[in-house]
Amino acid sequence: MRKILFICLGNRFRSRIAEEYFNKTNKNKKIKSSSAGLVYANPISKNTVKTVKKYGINIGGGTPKRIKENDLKNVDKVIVVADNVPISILKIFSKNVISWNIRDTDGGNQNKVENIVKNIIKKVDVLIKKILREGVK
Amino acid sequence: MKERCKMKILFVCKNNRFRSRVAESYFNSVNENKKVFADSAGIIVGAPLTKYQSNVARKAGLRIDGRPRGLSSKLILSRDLIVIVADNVPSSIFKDRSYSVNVVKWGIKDVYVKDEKKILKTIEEIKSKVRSLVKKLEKKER
Repeated sequence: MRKILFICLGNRFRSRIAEEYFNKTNKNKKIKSSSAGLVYANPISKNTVKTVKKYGINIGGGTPKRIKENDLKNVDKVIVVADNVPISILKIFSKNVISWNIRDTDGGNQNKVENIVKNIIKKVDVLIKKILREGVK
Repeated sequence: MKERCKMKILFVCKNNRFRSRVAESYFNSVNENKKVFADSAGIIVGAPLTKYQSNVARKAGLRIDGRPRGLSSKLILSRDLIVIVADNVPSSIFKDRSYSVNVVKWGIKDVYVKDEKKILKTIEEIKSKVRSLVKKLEKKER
């Protein structure tokens, strides 16, 4: 089993979208993804959950998770789905860390939320294609 | 008690295992101003402090047992000053637009080896920074 860990600041929105969409779309069952946040935060607003659901992605369930040292050490790839999480701290624990540099939402603007969702979906689609070709690298 | 404090300080390091715990423990032992509250947290939650490190800290007069605590946005938002005790925790984490908190960085290096001399030296470095902070706060109070 190969494991990918998506990370954002609060594990409320960006990393949750990436995880949910990846696990839904990826057909290679030997690869699983999970997600976590650098700072524990309250769950995202119901409105944002509703907007994301339009894309078939449910980020409403569960509570945000915080990154644990072991999670970082036990995954094959760490993907930072955020522009406000410095990768230097994650590189202490994992050699394979990349950043997608995705901006956070302020929660109020639906168009902004949708643009972020579309952007993450695009990135995950590219990732899945790459994994199919090359495996988790 | 914490609610009544005028100033709340949070010491932060990578794991809240050693450096931020040393700062918290020493600060609370030397600070006599009861209006100032200090505690600590770490960015990535991992294993607790080893017995070896804990024993060395005791030699330096500090008790730092207990489980590490992770950082939360609630914690950041409820503090007046964040002191990043570590060299490997980027201050940009606290510069997110949803937080408006004062941040200072001490840049103390981590000790990965079982080396009593090095650990004690690091503790002394932290103690000296804490003493300066306490003095600064005392001046502010006057």
